[in-house]
Formats: sequence, structure tokens, C-alpha cells
Amino acid sequence: MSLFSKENGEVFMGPLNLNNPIAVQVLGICSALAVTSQLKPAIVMGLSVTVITAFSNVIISLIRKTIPNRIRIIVQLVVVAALVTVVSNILKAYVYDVSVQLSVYVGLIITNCILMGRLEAFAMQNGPWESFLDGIGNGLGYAIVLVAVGFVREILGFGTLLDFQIIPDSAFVENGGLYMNNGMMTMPAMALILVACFIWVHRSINKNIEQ
Amino acid sequence: MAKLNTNSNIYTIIYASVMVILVAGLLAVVSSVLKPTQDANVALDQKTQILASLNIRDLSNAEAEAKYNEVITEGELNSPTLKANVDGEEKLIVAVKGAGLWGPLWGWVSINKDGETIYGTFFNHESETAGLGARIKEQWFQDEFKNKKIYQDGKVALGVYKQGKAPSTLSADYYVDAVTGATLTSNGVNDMIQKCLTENQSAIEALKN
Repeated sequence: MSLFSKENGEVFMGPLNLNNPIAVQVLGICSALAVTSQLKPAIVMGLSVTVITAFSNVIISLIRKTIPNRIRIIVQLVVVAALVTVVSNILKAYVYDVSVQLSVYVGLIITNCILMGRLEAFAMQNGPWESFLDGIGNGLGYAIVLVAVGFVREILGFGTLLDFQIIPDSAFVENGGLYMNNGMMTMPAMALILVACFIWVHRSINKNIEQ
Repeated sequence: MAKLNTNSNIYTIIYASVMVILVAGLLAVVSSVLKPTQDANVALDQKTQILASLNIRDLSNAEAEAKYNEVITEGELNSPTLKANVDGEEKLIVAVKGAGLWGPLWGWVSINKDGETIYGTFFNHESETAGLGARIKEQWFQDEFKNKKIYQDGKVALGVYKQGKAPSTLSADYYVDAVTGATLTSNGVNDMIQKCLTENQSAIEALKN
């Protein structure tokens, strides 16, 4: 099978749309609520999950034939936990402010259902390259939703995007304008509502998704 | 070669042991390689927090480092009190530590040369409720403390009270309004300020001389 065959393309593209981990499988919602009040942590979290899913998929796929069946979940957890610790250390060293913002949620990637789901359902049965594509696809599928939610929450909640002021200062009530930031958007509950809206739109477009 | 029985007990135990040793080694290496960079980040973060208590905010990392070295005249990052010189005026910075609703609170309170009034404050928290208790980290709350008085009859009177709930004997110079919906965190800030300012009373009084 060639590296970029049709099957591999589907492995990669599926989770971006028709098999999106958040919109269709409704996995990994917990962290989607917590880190999306602004765009930057949402992007970093999305990338971290993508990197960790891809590499843990590859590692598990490489050693899948040696893993003793009775402790396979433990082995998967150890691999994920090790990768998460490495990523968390790298974030602390190079993007300290973001790691403070993400706080416990980087550590909680270990328990992210998307990861365990992909390891158990895909990497245990497939080769490293397919597993890598599957990991990147699922990570990006998760990241897209996070970024979309973070985008809406930051622009409506703070009037900024990646800390740049988007809504002009003169439009605000305190400066004589008519606009106010929506404080509701900064609350975790709004992430849930936005994810629900996202799923609604996604399902209206793709009517053939199995419920 | 005979096929390895990956389900035998011996294999499972050896597999688990080797895996744990490999992973432990890897994590130890990563952690010790990145430790110096991380420590530098933590120290720099603390410096920007101390500068914020002197009303010097929104600096880039490089600016903060330079400004800190310029302004702070005495004391280390972890000392209970530091001295600073802002535009020719001496300020005393008292480190405050306390407990919020969910976890530790900390911050710095800078005091004017008169030993009576607050110059600026900075508070931070580990895990207070986002949008409620976490708002003690925001500038509008910290700015409320500016120019408030500390002592009444030789005791620390400065406090944080729910709107309209301050004791009637206390003039408005001595308290700030609590964060709405975050009574327990606000009480934590109140207790932390009173405890730490009382503990450092001698240093604050020494300012007047």
C-alpha cells in the first residue's frame, strides 16, 4: 500500500469532518470547555493534543505486537503520560504564560478520551504510518473545533483576537460608543453552548451522519 | 525462532519493568535539561508580579528584567520584604501569602515612604473560580487599594468588605469593596493582607525614619 493511497487519505480526512472526534463522536469535550476562553490557549492545546495523539499512536503501533494483552491499557497510559509530561515541560520552558493559562489541562490530556480511543481502536490494529495519519487527523479535528470556539469566545468576550484589539476602542460604552463585551462568553458554560451550535451546523450540512 | 508467548506472566512482568525504567529515564533527562529555562521563567514571572505591585505593568519580558534590576534596591525574590526606588521615592514591598477558597493566594503590597498608605498591590491565585474569585488578579481590583490607609490606633485596619458591610467605625480610606460573588476569596485577601502586614509592622514603621 502506498504512503498516500486513498485509504490513508480517508484515515486522515475522516476525523477532520465526517468522523470529527468532538462534533460526531462527542469525545474530549471536558478540555474543550476549559481552555477556549481565548484563542491562544485553544491553539496551543489543539497542537499539544495533535502532537501527543500522533506520537503515542506511532509508538503504540510500533510496539503493538509485543504488548502483553493483559496490561495493554496500562502500557498505553504510560506512553501517553510520558509524552504529556514531556510536552508539559516543553511548554513550561518555552511558552510559560500559556502553560500557566492551561494549568492542569495539559496534564489532563492523559485522560483525554480521544487519545485512549484512538490507541485502543486504531493503533493496536494498524501500522505506524496509518496510525500517525490517524493521530494527526484526530488531533487536528479536535483542534479545529477548539479554535472555532476560542475564536468566537475571545472576540465576543474580550473584543480581541490573540490579544490584538479587534473591536475599536471608540465603539465601547465607556468611550461613548454603543458596544459592550459579552461577559457570558468568558464563562465555561458558553463553550458548551457554542460546541452544541457547532455540532448542529455540522449535522445540518452532513445529513448522512449516523446518530 | 519459537513465537514469544506475550501472555505469560514472566513476559508481562519483564515488559512492565523495562517499560517503566525506560520511561523514568527519559522523563528524568527531559526534566533536568529543561529545568534551568523553566526556573528562569518562574523567576521572571515573579519579577513582573512584583513590578505590578509598584504599578509598573504590561512590560515585555526583556523590559521587565531591566526594570526590575533598575527599581528594586534591596531584597531577593523570596524575601518577606523588598525595597524599591520608584522615580526617586522609596517604597517598601511586603510579600503577602494566604489561602483562598480553592487554593493558595499570594501577592505583593507596596507601601509609600510615609509608612501609612498603600502605593500599589498585586494579587495572584492558583485555582480560584474563573470569572469570580479569579478576578482578584485583575487590575481594577488591585487599583482599588491605591492610597488606602493601613493603620488605625496602631493596628492594621485595612480590609476587604462586601459592599455596604464595612464596620461603621471604619472610614472609606481603610477598606475596598470585595469582588461580587467571591466572598470567600475576598475574605482570603482580607486575612492575607491583615496577617502579613501585621507580621511586618516593624519594617513598615521603620520606613518613617
